[in-house]
Amino acid sequence: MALRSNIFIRRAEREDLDTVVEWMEDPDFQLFLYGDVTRSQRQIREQIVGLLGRAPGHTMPAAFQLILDSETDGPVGLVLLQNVSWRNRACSLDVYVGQKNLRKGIVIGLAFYRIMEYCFDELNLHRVSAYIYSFNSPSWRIMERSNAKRELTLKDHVVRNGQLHDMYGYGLLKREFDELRENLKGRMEGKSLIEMIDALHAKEEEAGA
Amino acid sequence: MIFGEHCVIRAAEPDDAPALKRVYHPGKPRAATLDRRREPILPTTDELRELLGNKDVKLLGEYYAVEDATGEIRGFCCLRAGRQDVFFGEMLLMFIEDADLGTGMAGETFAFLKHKAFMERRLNKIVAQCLDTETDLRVFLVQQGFQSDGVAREVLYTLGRWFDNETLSLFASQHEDA
Repeated sequence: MALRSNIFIRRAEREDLDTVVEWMEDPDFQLFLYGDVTRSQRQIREQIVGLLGRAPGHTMPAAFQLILDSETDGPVGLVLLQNVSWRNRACSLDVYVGQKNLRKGIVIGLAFYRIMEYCFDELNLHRVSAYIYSFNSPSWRIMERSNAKRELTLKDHVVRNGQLHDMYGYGLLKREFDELRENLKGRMEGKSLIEMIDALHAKEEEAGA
Repeated sequence: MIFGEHCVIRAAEPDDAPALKRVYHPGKPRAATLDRRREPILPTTDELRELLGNKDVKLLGEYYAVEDATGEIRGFCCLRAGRQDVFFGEMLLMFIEDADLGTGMAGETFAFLKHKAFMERRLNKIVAQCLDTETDLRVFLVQQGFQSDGVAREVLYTLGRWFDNETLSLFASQHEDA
């Protein structure tokens, strides 16, 4: 199914392979996403082929590979819902926006909102987790603005560019996402998540001032 | 084999599978026995026998059996630290009876893992996990100097309720022998 707006989310197809591999070859991909930085291009490609080649018709898959698509820009990003536990109704989330000019603001904010709607309303999940490096502030800010809680701070947990960095563990429960939706009631149409939440925060600050 | 004052620690073998199976108690969930999706697993003795003999598993982190003075297996431990770009290891400390966590056996087992992590592998830190019901394990970890990194809420559903999972860490810099 496609959740449509200015951008929409759809299942990743085999035809997306070259685009996704191209994103993965970008040094930023390995900088921001969890994984072994010493993987070769061949290993990366094999991993992607493995991801996109998984049995699509499975009723309870362990992972979902989604593409953030745009009517104007084409495929702009990759969403991985992994380690899906149907028992615990939980999954872990990785989002990568390939087009650097779209990484902040409207695209990722609205996409994130749509992804959460998909997780909670369509997949009936209870919890979405995300591990984000401390230096990836645009990503963890989106989590925090979306009512997710920073549950873990794993100090000096990962090495990137020869330095140890902290890693944050975020958890977003369905009831917390529902609270966000309630707060945004009536203001969602035509606006991005970030714009709406920022406006809400600004209003609250004004009221508190 | 490591001969301690309170226990003997040795590499676990396939024949130790029946003892390891006792750790996977369905009525007593443990963070150490959950899979990567945090789901409880109920392996058969044959599956555990295969696990204990699997070379790939040993490369990731070998299981060690902890025997008391009579030769009875009281628990298992493991230090998972497979990837070369990772500077921490995950510690699994699994005693069949929680009460053993308050004995010298647990202290000696942890000293063995700590030495392995900080002196042999030169790791930066040891990470451990416990569910909110594993209070004896948490008390033990804190006594050993572990500090909480936080609690992931409602990650496991079993026995009709949600369980939280806490992550704790001990850094090499906090370790007196490092």
